[in-house]
Amino acid sequence: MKCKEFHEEIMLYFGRADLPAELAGHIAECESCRAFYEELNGMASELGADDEFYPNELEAEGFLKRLNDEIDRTQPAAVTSVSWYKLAGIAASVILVVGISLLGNFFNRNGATLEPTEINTAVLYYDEYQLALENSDLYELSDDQFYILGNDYTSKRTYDAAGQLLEDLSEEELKYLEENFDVGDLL
Amino acid sequence: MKESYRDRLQPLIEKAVAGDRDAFSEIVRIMMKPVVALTYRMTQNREAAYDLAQDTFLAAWQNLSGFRGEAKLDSWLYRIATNKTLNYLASPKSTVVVADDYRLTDTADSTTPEKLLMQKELKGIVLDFMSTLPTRQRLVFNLRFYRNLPFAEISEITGNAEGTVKTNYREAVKKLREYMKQIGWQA
Repeated sequence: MKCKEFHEEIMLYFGRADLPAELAGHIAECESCRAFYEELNGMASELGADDEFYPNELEAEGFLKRLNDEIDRTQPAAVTSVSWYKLAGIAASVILVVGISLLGNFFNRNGATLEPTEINTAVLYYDEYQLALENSDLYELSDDQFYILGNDYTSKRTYDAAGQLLEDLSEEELKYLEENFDVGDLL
Repeated sequence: MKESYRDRLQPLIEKAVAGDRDAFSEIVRIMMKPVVALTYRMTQNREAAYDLAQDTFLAAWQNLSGFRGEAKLDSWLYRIATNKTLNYLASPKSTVVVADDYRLTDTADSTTPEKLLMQKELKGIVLDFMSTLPTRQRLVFNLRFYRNLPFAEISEITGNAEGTVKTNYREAVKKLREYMKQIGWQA
């Protein structure tokens, strides 16, 4: 690699102890790259501390109290027999978003099933599509993302259909959703 | 995030998933600071930052039963906070703020008043700079520069490909470096 390429790497790894071996070796030998590395390290050390934005003890306790009040007000508790049905409902609606073709695969026991990564990808597309709609930044979506979501989400039949789909799902299918969805993507 | 945070979280997760409110409160105490720092740096609005952090933990509690143990809890929380923050920033109610209250609280250790003032000014300037970054670059910059997360994890949190994340970070670092030069900063 040339120094220019090492500079690109340095911009990714400065301020860390775990430099890639090749990069560490080059920095040790090359004065120019070492100077660049030290400059960025200095910036990280000067600006990289996080604690200046932390709540103090009083704010932290107030935060926790408000949160607990809100949790009490909005029960359900975290673990209920209903919660994962709700999750499955959301999950089902998201599956609808990505289109009948994927659903066809999911329900076809003799064929390929929908892989967890595909579901996660679909959820990602869904989030990005929502954001793009709100921002009117549709150009940020790739053609594939736009195609997949444009067909179903824009038809406004996501949540209505999800309820029906939920009723049609077997326990096994609900369990599959529960086990393969990452809820963080849905929130 | 430092590994010790994860070590502290680990024994609490199982209890919290089982519905233990005390264990969840302890998780909130541990994770409140980095989550608030993230939402504050993104929004540069104190009230919105706390609201988004509260929404994050509330959503986490309500969906904890869907949390999969193999995932990292802090990453999961960052992902929820990220989704909520991006939605907030895309909404009409969000405003672009050049923060003048850039310190939630002053937690600096003993130092000279001059140095403290200089650091305050510098960090305020950097916050101003960050408000000029595109949202995705700002997000990636936050997660890497301040939270020191691996790119693969940032990719999971943001839902962007690792290559895209690296490009975003590199661009943000280039811009920050130029900006710091313009204001006469030297390592």
